[in-house]
Amino acid sequence: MKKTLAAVAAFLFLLCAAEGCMQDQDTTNTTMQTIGETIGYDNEDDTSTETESVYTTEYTSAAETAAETPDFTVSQSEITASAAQITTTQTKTTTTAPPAETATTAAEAQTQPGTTRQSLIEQWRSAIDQRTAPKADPAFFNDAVFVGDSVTLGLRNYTTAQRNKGKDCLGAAQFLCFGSMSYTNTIGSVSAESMHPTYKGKKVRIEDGVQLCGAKKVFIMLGMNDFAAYSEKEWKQNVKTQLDRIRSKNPDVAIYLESVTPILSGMEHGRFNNDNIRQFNAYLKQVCDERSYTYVDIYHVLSDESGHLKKSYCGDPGAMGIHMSNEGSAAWVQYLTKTFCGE
Amino acid sequence: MKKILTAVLTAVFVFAAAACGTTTAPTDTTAQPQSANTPADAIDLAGVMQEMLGSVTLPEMMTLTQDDLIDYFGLEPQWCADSAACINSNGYEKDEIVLVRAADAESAAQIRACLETSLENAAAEMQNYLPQQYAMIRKCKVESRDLYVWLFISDNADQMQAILDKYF
Repeated sequence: MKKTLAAVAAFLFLLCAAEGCMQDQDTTNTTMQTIGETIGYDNEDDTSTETESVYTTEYTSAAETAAETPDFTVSQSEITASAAQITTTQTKTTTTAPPAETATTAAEAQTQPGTTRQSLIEQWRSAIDQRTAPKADPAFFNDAVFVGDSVTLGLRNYTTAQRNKGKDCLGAAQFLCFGSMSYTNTIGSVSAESMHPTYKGKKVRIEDGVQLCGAKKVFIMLGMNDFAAYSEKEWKQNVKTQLDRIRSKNPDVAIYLESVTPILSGMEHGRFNNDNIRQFNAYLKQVCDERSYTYVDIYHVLSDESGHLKKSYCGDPGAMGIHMSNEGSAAWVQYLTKTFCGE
Repeated sequence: MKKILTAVLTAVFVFAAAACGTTTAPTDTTAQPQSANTPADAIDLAGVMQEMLGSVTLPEMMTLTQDDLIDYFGLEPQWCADSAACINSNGYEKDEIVLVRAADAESAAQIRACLETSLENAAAEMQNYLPQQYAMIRKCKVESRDLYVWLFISDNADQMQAILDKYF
């Protein structure tokens, strides 16, 4: 009798346990099916395709290398005549097969003992992320901050507008701007009247702002308010002073000096002219060569054949003739993206 | 004997029930309706701003999201229960509409302080740069009422104020 009872109990135990596992498996399958449908895959029929198509794509640009390599410079001779682009030799975009663990599909994992439903879902999600990730890599600018005057304020607004439309624009780059800011007028102390960029609404010195942003790359476009307002000796000294402060406070940051952009034809007056801008830019280039910073020639990206700001790129043709239209900002962003992200 | 049988069967069913317990229905991840946290008489700030944009002469403006307000004005997201803002898109002129309903009185004070700082910064930017803009900015001020805080920088700020006044 006892033996019979024990046998009945054992049978019932095994029956219930088996039923529980079966139901658990069914739920997992349903979840996997749902996720698979979300990305257009049939997780029963197309697992082999998924295995072959999940790749990890790595993009490395020479400019990014430059941020880590003290000796990197981009020489003037490398700038092409047509677009005057910085010829940072882009390391060829490499597409590599994933390591074994990332290539493991959810379907394969499903068969592995001890795999939980949650881990299966996570692997599916990972696969989805990799499938849907943009091929272009905007990560270069994620730890960058753009420092500048009203010209860069325009770039900031353009970038904000693009991001609010859901478009990628200079990654997660931040901005430290203030209208009429210059290398010179940012050297003094911060006050209610001073010219200093704002970080979260509060004025800060440039070097402090760069630190607050946590930036590893700083793109500086200043000078439009220097070269005509101060003597050559003054602005040359002030450029170096400002850069010294940024470097001293942020020893690990990579410095990129963007050239001053051109003035629209007919809007030059007195010392405020494109010849002086080119002279200023030549000095910036010289500083970059001396200090192993990267010179970024925006001037030639935005200028026409005569060296003036291209008309369609000008957002204030009836005013100052120096600020960018959306088309000009787009050209600027496109150049930066192409140069540093390899897109 | 019956006791033993009862104990064994009880143990079996308890264990089986526990095993079945792992097959809970999938969690419903459908977003639950959030508590609106919006007073019934709250002003539709986005609607007010649209009315201003539709009836007041302004340069090309770009709309800012609530997330943008920290970068542009230093307004922490948790201070703002609702907001509507836009600025001159060209970057060098300072026309602005900023309308905020604060989360609470303390936040309203913080928002007001930040917008006043922003207004002063705008004045400093324009003082030796664009005199007309400077004069315009100097005529403008941050206003508040209950939990609402707003700033209009425009030659037509009075018209904007008149539109907003209709909603109070």
